Amino acid sequence: MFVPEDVELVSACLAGNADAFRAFVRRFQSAVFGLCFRMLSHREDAEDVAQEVFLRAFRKLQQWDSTRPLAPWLLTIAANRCRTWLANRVRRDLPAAFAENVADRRPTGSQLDLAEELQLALDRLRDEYRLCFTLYHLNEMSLAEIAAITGNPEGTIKTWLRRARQELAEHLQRRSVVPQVTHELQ
Amino acid sequence: MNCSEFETQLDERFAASGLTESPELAEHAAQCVDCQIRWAQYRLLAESIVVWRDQTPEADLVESVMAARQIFTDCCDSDENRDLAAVSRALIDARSASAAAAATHTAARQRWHMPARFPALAGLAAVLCVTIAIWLLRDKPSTAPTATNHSGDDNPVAANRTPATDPSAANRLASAPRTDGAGREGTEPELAPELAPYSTLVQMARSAFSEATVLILPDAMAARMSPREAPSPEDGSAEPDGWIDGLQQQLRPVGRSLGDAFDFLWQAGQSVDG
Repeated sequence: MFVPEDVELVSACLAGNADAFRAFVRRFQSAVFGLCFRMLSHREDAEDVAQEVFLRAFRKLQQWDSTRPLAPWLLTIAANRCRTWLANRVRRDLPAAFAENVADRRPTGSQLDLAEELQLALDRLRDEYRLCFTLYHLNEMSLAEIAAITGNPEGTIKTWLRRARQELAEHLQRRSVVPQVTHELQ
Repeated sequence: MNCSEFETQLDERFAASGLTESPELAEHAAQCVDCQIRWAQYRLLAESIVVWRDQTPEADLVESVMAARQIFTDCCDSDENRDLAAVSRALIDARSASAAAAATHTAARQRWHMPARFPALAGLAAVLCVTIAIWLLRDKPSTAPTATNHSGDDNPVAANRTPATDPSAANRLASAPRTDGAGREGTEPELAPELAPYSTLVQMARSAFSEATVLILPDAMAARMSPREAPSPEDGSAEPDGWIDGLQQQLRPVGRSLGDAFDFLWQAGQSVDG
């Protein structure tokens, strides 16, 4: 999908326009940081990774295919950096504050706890499930775009998304967020 | 519709529209408790996703990215094999190193302000006291010309006689009760009246230092006691507790050394005067 605004922005960046770089960051920082934050569950880590994503993007801007939208290309870099960061985090252990924060979460029924419970459940998913779920439900990417970002077939993405939702729903029930039967269907 | 078809349609509807009401799904769920539970789970999941999406934080990365880009451009732009990850890590490490250096500096300042400062001041005070005492003893003959006359002898050499050459003075020193700097009971030697001002000065200095030691170091009082009065090491109160007790233990040898130094000066003064 051709996006004229993307081409103009990238052209200005390639010309070395500092304002264009600022506009580039301002335009995509929400999507990139959101994905990083939901993938890493740690704000400072997410900021570091998002910063690295933009630096990499600036470096490889000339490799971007102008016939395609810019956001999925940028999110591909973000997804790869998040996966690398997660692999390194496993080797160097979780930050203590993060581990305590996760361990202390308890549901109380408020909306804030709903979001925290969902994030806690997301943290326990496989990395590829979490990535697909975040790209689909947060970044609103299509199955085809997620398939392109992750390098997997659309059918695989569809299956991963379904399993992710099922595991999340079961987790919410295990955490007593969902009563056994609360919904009257008729 | 069976349960498998129900789950498939439920997930497809969820993915497409965030779970809307469906008569077909409702009809099956009314007959199946498991599917009814699954539907309830998905309804809450849909609600959670909305909240989760709305509560995703924002970050203003413009300035930090531009600063990092500037650093990268300045130092690495000519290198074809430059590694952005390394540059980003270097930025993060630089931030961490700066924080660690600040913490180390603060810790060093705290170490100087608390335990290290007092031994230095105590040493300085000791040197000052010794210097004053030596100055007093050295200036004594010029400020006390009558000191050479206590034995009825005008010969100036007689003023510098040592106790070893004056049997009477040696006997006085040996028999006179005195108290040494460590608090041991003894007898004070008898002094000639013309030496009294100098010995008084030394005594006052020693007493002042002893009192100051007792005030600063409560354990110094125990050191002045007899072994029976002093608390035993097994006593819980004698155990170090915190940096103040540690400081006391560090200063205790300094106090003993200063007491010995005053004793030595006292005896030297008596020998010269005697």
